[in-house]
Amino acid sequence: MGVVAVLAVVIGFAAFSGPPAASPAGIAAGEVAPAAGELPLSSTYTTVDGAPQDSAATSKTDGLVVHPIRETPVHDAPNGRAIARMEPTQIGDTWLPVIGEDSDWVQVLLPSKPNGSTGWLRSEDVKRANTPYLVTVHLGSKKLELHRDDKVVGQWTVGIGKESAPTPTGRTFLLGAFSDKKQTYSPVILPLGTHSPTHDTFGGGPGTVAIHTWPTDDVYGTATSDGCIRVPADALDQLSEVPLGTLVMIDED
Amino acid sequence: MNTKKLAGAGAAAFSAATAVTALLLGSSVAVAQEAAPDSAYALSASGLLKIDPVTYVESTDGNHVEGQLAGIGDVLGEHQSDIGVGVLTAEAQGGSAETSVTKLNLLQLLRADLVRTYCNDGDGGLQIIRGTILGRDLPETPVPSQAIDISPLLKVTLNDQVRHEDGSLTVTGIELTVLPGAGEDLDRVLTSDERKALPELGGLLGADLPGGVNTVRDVVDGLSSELGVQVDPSKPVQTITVGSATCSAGDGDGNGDGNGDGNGNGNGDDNGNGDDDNAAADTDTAAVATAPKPEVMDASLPVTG
Repeated sequence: MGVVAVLAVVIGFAAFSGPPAASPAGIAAGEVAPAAGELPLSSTYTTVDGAPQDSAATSKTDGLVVHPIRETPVHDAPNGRAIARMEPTQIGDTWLPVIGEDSDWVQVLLPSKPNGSTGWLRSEDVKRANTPYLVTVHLGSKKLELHRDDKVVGQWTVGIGKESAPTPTGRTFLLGAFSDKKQTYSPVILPLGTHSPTHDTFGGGPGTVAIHTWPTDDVYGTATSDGCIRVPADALDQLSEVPLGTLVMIDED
Repeated sequence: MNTKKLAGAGAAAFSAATAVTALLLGSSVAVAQEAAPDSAYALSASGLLKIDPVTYVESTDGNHVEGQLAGIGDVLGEHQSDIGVGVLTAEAQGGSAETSVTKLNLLQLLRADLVRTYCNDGDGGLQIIRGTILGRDLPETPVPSQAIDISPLLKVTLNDQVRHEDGSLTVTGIELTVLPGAGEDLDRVLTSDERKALPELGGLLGADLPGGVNTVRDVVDGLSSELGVQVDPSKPVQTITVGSATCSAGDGDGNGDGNGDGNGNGNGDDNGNGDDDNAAADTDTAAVATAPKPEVMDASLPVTG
C-alpha cells in the first residue's frame, strides 16, 4: 500500500501543477474571486449586486451591533435571495450596525460597494451587542463629533475630501482598526464601510474611506484629502476606543 | 474493520485495489463546497496527499445511515506515521449528522482522544476530549471558527461553521492547513519555532528540505525543487480535515415558530428551559452586552488618505 500512497502523491503533484487560477484584477490584496456558483464575499474589497439600499440614511439607530459567529449568507430580504457571504473576521472581528429587524432576521449595513448597501442576516448566526457611541461628521463646517449616550463628548475640526474626491455622505460605520507599515501618516487607521464616489481604486486599495490623523496640522479645516477624514491625534486616540460597528453619520451641514 | 454502510468514494478505500482508484480520483470530488444536507465524514485530505472523505455517509431520505471504520493504515500507506487514527464513525439522518475520530495524531503536532463534530437542526459544534497541540491543551468545546496560530507554515482551525443559502449548516471539526498563506509575505524570515516545524512539514509532503532555509520563499522554493513542481504559494499545499457534519435547518425559517421567535423579546421563550440554541441571538436588547473596544490589527489596506 505504500505504492498506492506514492501514486496518489504523484498524481496529486500533477493536479497541483496545473495552470494557476486567474488572479483577481484591481485589488492587490484582500479580494478573492469567488468560485463558480459561490456567493461573493461582502467586504470593503468587493461589490455586491442586488443589495437593498439604506432607506433611512439620516436616522440614528438604538446602537445595536452584531458580530457574525459563523460564515453566513447575506440575503436581500428576510427569507429572500442570498446575494453574498459575510465572514466572522475581516479587519479583525466583523461588527455591523443593525438598522432593522424582522422576526429571525437582522438588517445590517454592509462594508461592500456600492455605498449604502444593506443586507439581512439570520439572527441565529450573529452575536448581539450595544454601542453607546455615535460619530457625526459635518462636511460644511468640517466638524466631527463623538457622542456617547446621546451627549457630545468630543468635537474637533477635521479635514475632508476635496471637491474632486469628496467624502461621501450617508450612514456608515467603523469597520476596523489597523496599523499599516506602508501608510505611516497615522499610527492607527479606522476604515469605514463606505467608499470614495470618485476613486474606484486608490493607491492599490478599493477606495475605502477612513478616519485617521495627519502629520501636519494645516490640513484640519480644509477640504484637501481624497475622501478620508483627517482628525487631530487626540481625536484619533478617543475614536480608537469606540467599538466597531458604531454608526458614522456624514452630512453636508 | 467494521463497515455498516458507506457511500461516496471514501468507501472504495477499503480494498487495496479500489483504494488506488479512490485516491487517484479524489481531487474530482467536491466536498463541503456545496450544501449536502444531513451528511458526515470523519477524515479527508486535499493537496499533495489526497484522501477522499472516509466513512462518508449521507441521508437522502431522512433515514438513519452510519459508517464505521477501525483505522485507515491501508489508505495512508507510508503516511501512517503522519496521520494516526483509531475508530472513525459517521452517521446522519433527517436534520442531524455527527462524526467522531478517536486516538487522533496529526503530524505529531495535534493529538486528541476524541474529536466529535456534530450538527443538529441547523446548529452544531465540536467536542475535543484530551486534545493538545504542541503540548498545549485544546479547548473541549471551541467557539466557532477558532484559529490557532502554530506558524504561517501551519494553521489549525477548530469548529469552522458555514451556513448555506438553504439554511443548512456545515461544521468542520479540525482543519490543518500547510502553507495557508505563504504568498502574503514570501520574504519574511522564519522564526525558530517555524524552523523546528520544517521536518514534519517536509515529512508530510515527502520532501527533504535543504539546509539554510531562512525565509518563507526558501520553503516554497525548496518544496518546489524537492517535489519537482512549482508550488503555488497563494494556495495551501496541504489540507487535512478531521470531522465534517452537515445538517439541514430545522423548522427555522419556514413558518418560524419552532424556537420561540414569534413576537419579539419576552426572552426565555414559552416554557423556560427550551433549547439553548439561540442564546447568541436572543432578541431581548436589555440583556445585550456592551460592544467591545476594537483591537488594532496589523493590516495593509490602502485608504483614500
